[in-house]
Amino acid sequence: MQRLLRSLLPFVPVLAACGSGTGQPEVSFPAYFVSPATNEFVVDDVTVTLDEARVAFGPAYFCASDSASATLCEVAVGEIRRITTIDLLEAGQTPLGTYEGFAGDVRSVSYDHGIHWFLPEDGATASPEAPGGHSARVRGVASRAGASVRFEADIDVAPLFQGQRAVPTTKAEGTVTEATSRIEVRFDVASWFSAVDFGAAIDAGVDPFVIGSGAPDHDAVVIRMVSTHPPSFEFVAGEASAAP
Amino acid sequence: MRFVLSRWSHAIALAAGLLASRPAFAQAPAPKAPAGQANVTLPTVVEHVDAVYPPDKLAQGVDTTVEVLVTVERNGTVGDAQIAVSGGEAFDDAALAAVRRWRFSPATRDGVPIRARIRVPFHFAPEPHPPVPVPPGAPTDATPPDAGTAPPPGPPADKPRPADKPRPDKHTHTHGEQPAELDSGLALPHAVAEPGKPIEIHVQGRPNPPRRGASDFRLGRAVLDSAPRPTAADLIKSAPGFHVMRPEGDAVAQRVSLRGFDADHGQDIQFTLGGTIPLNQPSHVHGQGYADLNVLIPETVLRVRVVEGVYDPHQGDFAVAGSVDFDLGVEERGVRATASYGSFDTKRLVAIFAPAGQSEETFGAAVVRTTDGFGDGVRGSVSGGFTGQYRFELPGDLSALVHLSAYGARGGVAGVLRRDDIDRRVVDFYDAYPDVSARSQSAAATRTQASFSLQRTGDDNSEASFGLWGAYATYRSRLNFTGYTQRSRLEPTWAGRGDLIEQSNDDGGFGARASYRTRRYEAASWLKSQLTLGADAEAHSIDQAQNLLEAPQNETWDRRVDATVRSLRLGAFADALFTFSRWARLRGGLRADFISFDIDDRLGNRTPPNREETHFIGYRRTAAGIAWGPRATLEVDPWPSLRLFAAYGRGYRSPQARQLEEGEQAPFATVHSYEAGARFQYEPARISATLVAYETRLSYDLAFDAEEGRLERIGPTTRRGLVAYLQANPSNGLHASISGTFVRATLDSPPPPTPENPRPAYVEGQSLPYVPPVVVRTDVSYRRALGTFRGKPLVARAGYGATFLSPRPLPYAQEARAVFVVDASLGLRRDFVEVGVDATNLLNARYADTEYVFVSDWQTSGIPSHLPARHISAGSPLTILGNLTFHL
Repeated sequence: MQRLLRSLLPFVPVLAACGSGTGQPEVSFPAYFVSPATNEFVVDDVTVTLDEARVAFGPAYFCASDSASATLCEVAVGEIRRITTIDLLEAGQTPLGTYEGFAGDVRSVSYDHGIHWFLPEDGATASPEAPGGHSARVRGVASRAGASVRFEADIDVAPLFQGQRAVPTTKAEGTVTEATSRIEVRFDVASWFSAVDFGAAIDAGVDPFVIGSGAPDHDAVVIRMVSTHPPSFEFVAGEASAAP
Repeated sequence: MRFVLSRWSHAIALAAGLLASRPAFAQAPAPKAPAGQANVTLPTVVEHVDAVYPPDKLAQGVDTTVEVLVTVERNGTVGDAQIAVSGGEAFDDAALAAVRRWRFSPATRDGVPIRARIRVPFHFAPEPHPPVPVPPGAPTDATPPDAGTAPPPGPPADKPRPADKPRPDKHTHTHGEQPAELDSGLALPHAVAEPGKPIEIHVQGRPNPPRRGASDFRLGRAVLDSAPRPTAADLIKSAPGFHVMRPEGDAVAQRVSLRGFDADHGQDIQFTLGGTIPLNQPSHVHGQGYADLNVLIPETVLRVRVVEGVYDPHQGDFAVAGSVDFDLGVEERGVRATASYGSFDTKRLVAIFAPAGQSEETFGAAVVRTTDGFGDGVRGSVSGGFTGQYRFELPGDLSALVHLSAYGARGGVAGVLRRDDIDRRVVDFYDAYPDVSARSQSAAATRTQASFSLQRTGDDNSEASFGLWGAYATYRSRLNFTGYTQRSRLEPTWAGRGDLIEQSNDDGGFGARASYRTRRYEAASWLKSQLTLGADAEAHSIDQAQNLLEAPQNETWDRRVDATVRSLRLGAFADALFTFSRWARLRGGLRADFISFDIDDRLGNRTPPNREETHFIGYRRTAAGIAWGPRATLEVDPWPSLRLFAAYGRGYRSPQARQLEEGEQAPFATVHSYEAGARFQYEPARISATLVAYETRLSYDLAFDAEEGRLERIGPTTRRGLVAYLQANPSNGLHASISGTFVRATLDSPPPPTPENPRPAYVEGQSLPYVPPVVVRTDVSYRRALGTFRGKPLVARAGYGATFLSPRPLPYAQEARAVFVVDASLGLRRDFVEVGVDATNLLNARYADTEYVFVSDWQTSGIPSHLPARHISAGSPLTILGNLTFHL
């Protein structure tokens, strides 16, 4: 009882003010895509020059669970609720919107590339921000030893199930605190299109070389976007920069 | 008109003068005991009501005496009143009506309150009656501190009354000319126990149990009548630290918070009726300990005992934050019918029949109510209830009580709204989402219960009691908290059809209780002791289900629960009283409860989708456990007006059966309660003040999970706080109380990890969400005779109750806004007709009845949010009901 009374005394004057402190305060900071501004890269012996490279990104939901799949992460700890068209040829950084959430550990993220299947929509739907109604639209020229073909890639990364994101889960490790000032998202279109067999297209003289839904090259790019070469997410502490 | 006004002003002035001077009445001195009963003291009057001279007899100038045989209960109330010497029907009725409202300090034998019958003469004189001489008042030894009976609020028994003051001669008219203005119609009764006659001792009614600490509060009708009480749950608002909410409509049990506990629908508070019928339902699908107080008709609740903390061995399952016991009864005998009509097309009709000459506990009451509810038409409800009780005597000094009540309700539910949607004006604060699933929310519930109890009190203060009860309760709700976020677990490709959660719970329960209190033993001149042994048993058979429905056809698109639970609880306790001297007492003992469960979980061991079936679905399991609960209270009276308390107790809450595994030692949530407090009584001004410091530690707590619409574990918690409570009854008819409760409620360890959050965030000393750190409540009621109007007495009443809640912490470091709500009531009664008006939320405050934080998707934004967001259910706006009551 003495312990009780002793413990009561210090907070008696401030009891009335004790209205918060339930942990995990709200945080909000800008999200950016940081571009390597690649407009030319080499795949095997083929040089790929990009004329257009636009990718839709968002929304993204960050989770404390090891998997961000819809069944394991019904409650997010952070989210970027905007769909943005990113011009990968543009140097610098592209604002992706605002990361809103709560302080705490982040272990995974799920996101869409402009095509979503929210509940209770009947099917996957392209957002207006999706370039040409696709997740990514990439145009350019593939050249090898004086031969070249134009290529046109319309990549669709669509959710497989209702209520799920197109990329159901990707690792995104970090700890968000009130000192976190921004999140940087990076991905490399060159790594995605390294899966395309441009050489075969040049050899076959297919011009333009169309990479569309159902084509093996299309699926190879999707696999790289979704599984093997997903974006990286980095929470940066420091002085907050202006919101996008 | 000028004549009328003149008469009114005269009457009011006259009445004011009368009240100011207090009508004379004879206070019975502490009478000498009848011969041969040297240790007996007779009842003394502590609160009286004047009999009204029948106005239609004034012209005849009748001067007569009525003698009434009055049975004074051990708690000082009038249990029975019969005419011994008639003065004529009108005078008999007037005397009976008055004496039933008297309050006594009870008779005692060997210092212990006993039931007694006395004779009370009323002298009706048409002219001013000479002052009644009062013999020198000797202090009575009325209720000794250890007697186990708290005297009713009011002046001390030995307080001299101004009975011998000459009455001011205010009237200048003869009664024949203006009878309405005459105070000569007031009889001047004096209570005199017949000397020389042996008192008749009866055992009747449930004794008022002794206080178990400073946080043991009793609410009588004086407090309960202060403000409108639309439901029985509203009665407990007046107890310190309570807050009552009704976010899920009229057919779902109230939500309650108490001293830092979010007790939800009753998980942390043991609710009982008459000490016999448990109102909490174990393993209810909508929340452990679900207790729907709608089964009680508020007008029939005579008093409420609230114990905040766990200090009484009688307190059983769910007594974690405390316990509440309702005693039913009707003070005013006769027939009463009240019709109410008001805001939102609310209609309510209540009829009460309380036969004259019977105990307060004998009555019948029925109520029906219908309303459209506030908002945009989804809160309509209809309900009805009945309660009947009969108290009667049996041979062998046995007193029996039979109780039967039934209640049913169906109501629409508006559900919750996202704060951000309200702020963006997507939906109005008082409305529901314009969504078929949101507007298909509803609930329906019934409860039928009966009990039979027997009690016998011996002349040596021993006491035996026995009670049997049975109850059948049904519940079905369809609630959508989260909009469109759910996916079928049986058919994972089914998703987004609306999270309309249907829950059903059919509970058939019965039980018994028995206790025996020994006589008081005198071990030494300085030590007396008394022992109570008791046991109770409670069995339930519960069928429950939880499904997801697609509105509006209510097609089932997922099944979450389909189970039958059978539970048996056996409790036993020993409760001892040690009286060391007249200054110190120690009460306490040990309680043990065994509980067993048999669960037929018909959806358990479900084969995951897309897997080959290897077994039949279903998971049957049994579990059992025992909880131990030592409790003790030390009382010290350093001065007659001051009592100090220190108390400790360990209580428990039984587990939700469906969460148990096979063979699990049923993991009771255990609570340790500590308190130190003081109660001070300043009798000249009829003021009592209580100050309590307390701590409660709970082994694991539960929190509301909106996704499942039920409670989930969050871990161990601690509450530390202070309670201040002041009651005052400075003059007859005026009653005021104010309480302030300050609490710091914290989570003591990180919440249990889940796949969704393997390492939940936790900060040492993290506040518990949803419970207000500060609760202030005040109640004031005033009743006053204004005089007479057209020959009949005119009595006015007014009262209000106000609740202040400080900003409540919410999850994720958010904070709900402060709440201040005032309810008020006014009434004017002339003879058998009373008109009144009740206003709830008088200031029309726009407040959130409850706030939650969880993920929802009501399709109000193009891109759904998966972040927990603030949701509110709106508190009722200003609601006015006009009442017309006939007292027949």
